[in-house]
Amino acid sequence: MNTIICSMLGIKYPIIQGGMAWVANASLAGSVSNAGGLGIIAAANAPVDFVREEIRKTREITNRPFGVNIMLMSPFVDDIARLVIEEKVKILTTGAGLPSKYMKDWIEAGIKVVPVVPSCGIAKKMERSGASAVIAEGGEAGGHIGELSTMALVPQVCDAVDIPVIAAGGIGDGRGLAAALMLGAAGVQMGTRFLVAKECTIHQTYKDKIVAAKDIDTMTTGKRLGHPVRALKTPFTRAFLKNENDCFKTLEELEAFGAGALRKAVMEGDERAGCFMAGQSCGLVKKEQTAKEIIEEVIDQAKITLGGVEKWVR
Amino acid sequence: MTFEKVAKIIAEARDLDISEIKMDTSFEDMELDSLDVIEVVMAIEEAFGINIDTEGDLRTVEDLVKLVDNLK
Ligand SMILES: Cc1cc2nc3c(=O)[nH]c(=O)nc-3n(C[C@H](O)[C@H](O)[C@H](O)COP(=O)(O)O)c2cc1C
Repeated sequence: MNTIICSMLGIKYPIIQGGMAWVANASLAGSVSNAGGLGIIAAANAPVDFVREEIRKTREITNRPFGVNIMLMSPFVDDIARLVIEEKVKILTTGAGLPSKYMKDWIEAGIKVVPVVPSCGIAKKMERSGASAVIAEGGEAGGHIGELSTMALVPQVCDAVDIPVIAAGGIGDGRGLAAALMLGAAGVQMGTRFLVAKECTIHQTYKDKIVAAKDIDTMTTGKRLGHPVRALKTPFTRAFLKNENDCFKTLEELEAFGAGALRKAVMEGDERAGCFMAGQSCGLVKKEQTAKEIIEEVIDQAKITLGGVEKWVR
Repeated sequence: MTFEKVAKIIAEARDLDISEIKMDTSFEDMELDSLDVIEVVMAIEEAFGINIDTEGDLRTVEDLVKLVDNLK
């Protein structure tokens, strides 16, 4: 399966593995790229040395294209923005903000920039600043999310810009990929499904919880802080929501309560203090598979789906 | 004057009461989130023919007015 995104990014299949903070390291990104998708290393809040090391390790695992996700709220974002130029990274995605002020330098360095966008306005602004494509991510996704749903957002962003659009949020199998193409997208980005890739090095408890999770097992917290997060319902997220609804708790107290929680889930599988970020598609994730098996299964199913809608349509 | 023009654009772009938009009004006071601010910034860019790439640092109407005056 070949779309405009494949030729633009030099990949075989139009599947991008989401840059996931503390999750998307060289092991996952390298395996996804080897399997013909686009692997992404997440820079998260990590310092420069850590990210440089992951970039170099990824190059040892694969000689295919891969990218780096820049988290714009990171305290190290200025340094990371320079690092990716030094390390000659070819593809960047950005999350949690607008990369406008870095765009010129990146584009001059020949980097293809693909920002995650939650609205048409931001998509247009990114197109004007020289983005190669945009990732339209709906609120079904895991992690930091926007308000709109993928179903409503993707076709509107496709109408708003002339660059290719990649759909993200709630896409867990080949039917999701097929649907995204129908909405006008040229590919998909998946996060939750790749959490259980064999090459994904997160704590086993995290993977077990994703496999066990059903449709209703995620919730959003952090609306009051202005950056809502979707994660599995656990003692931690329930406690967070309780604090959030408590009008005597200050924003500072809330921020402090949530700080470092994803890392605790990823590294330690800590169910009390960890935040297991995941999207609504967790119910579609049934087992651990290699990145290659995931990608090939999604592509095969998408082809079948595109060949004729099953079941209800005659 | 830049302020009057900016206030009018903000009011029209986000359906707000213009009389409540003062120089020191913050976007937060107007209950505008980051997506709303981008819509405002885009409308300002079009109206003044400028390109704003520091939208993340904008807090108040005054910030925006100053920026427009610098870029015009
Ligand atoms: C654990 C986790 C961490 C994430 N961290 C980031 C991040 O650091 N930067 C970013 O741009 N997106 C991040 N995301 C979003 C993903 O890159 C991707 O867009 C999203 O997972 C797609 O939706 P899905 O989970 O429904 O597949 C994260 C998602 C998850 C599940």
